[in-house]
Amino acid sequence: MRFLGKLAAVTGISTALFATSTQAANLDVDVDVTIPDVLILYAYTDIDLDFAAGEFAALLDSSCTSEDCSSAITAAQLGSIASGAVDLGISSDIPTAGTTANINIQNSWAVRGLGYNNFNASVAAASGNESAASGFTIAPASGSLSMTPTQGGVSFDVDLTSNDLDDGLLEANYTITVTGS
Amino acid sequence: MINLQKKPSLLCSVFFALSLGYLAPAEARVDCYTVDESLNVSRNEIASGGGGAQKAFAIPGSQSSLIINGNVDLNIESDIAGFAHGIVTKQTDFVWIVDVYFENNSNDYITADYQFNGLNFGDNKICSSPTSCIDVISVNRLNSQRQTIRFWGFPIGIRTSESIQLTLDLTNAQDSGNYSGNLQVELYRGTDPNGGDRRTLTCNN
Repeated sequence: MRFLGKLAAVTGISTALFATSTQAANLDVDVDVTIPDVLILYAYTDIDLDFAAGEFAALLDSSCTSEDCSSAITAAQLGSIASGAVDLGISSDIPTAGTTANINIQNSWAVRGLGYNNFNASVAAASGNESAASGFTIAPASGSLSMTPTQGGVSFDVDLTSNDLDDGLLEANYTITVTGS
Repeated sequence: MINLQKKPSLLCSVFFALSLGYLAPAEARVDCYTVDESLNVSRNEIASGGGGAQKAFAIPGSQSSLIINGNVDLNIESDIAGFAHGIVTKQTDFVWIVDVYFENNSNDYITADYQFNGLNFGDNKICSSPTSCIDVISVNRLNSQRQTIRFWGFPIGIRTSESIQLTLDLTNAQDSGNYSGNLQVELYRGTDPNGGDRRTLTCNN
């Protein structure tokens, strides 16, 4: 090796003596980069939602625009007074209450990736989910994948008649799964 | 015997070097070399948090919003931007080496400008196909090394070499696998390590 080093140096010296041609000092370097497959799912994990003013009452009675609302039943009521009393039977005139509300949490997850052409997404109720929240769906359930994030939403139904709502709080827990293909 | 063989050889070399210095004192020979680079980007560099291909990131903090007409828009895109996934920084070994022999003015420094060019897909790109390219955000000097070239202990030149740091944006990349780019290096000589008067350098090899 020592001999080779000297030989190389001598060669350098020799060419230094006789070299006359020159080239502009622009050099090209080949740069190769290897990229792996990767898929990245983003999601919020703590979402606190409140119904806007009048929103919840409207689910129960479409004529309500505030939580404490009055709903006049305008049809004329006829009755006969017997022993100083009359029964108008208002329950039969009360509009049918809504029993289910659909909540759609838009743009609450996103996915991006490299190397995969498409993704498939699914959602399912998770541990701790109260039974009043059911029917979880995800959108989009599939799509093309790139490094530009694709956003999606999760929706579910709320049973407005459930005792889960008695404390004024409903806990909906769900798991999102996204796979690349 | 060994001493007898070594001594004349060493003397001849000294004489040879000194003679060369006398005969051609201003004739510098400049040899320029490049070293092709092969870089691997790991999954962890694209998105930290384990080496698996499919990663999940919880966005911390409570999201509070109002449900209106059964809908609520959390606009997650604005929070994803904070992750900066897809911006990767890579460091190279020495990408060029310049040997300058027998030069009177040994105070010159060799510096370089860098530009990723062309390959038909546009500048500052490293591509796997016309539709899948990595954008080169920046090319910066990382480590510039200058050392004396010696022949049997005698200084006969200066070797300069430089490594670089690349900042890459994978946002417009589609494919996994191999990407290729051409880095054009333009060399200068100057009066200080930052370029100085930046005279054009010519290479003899």
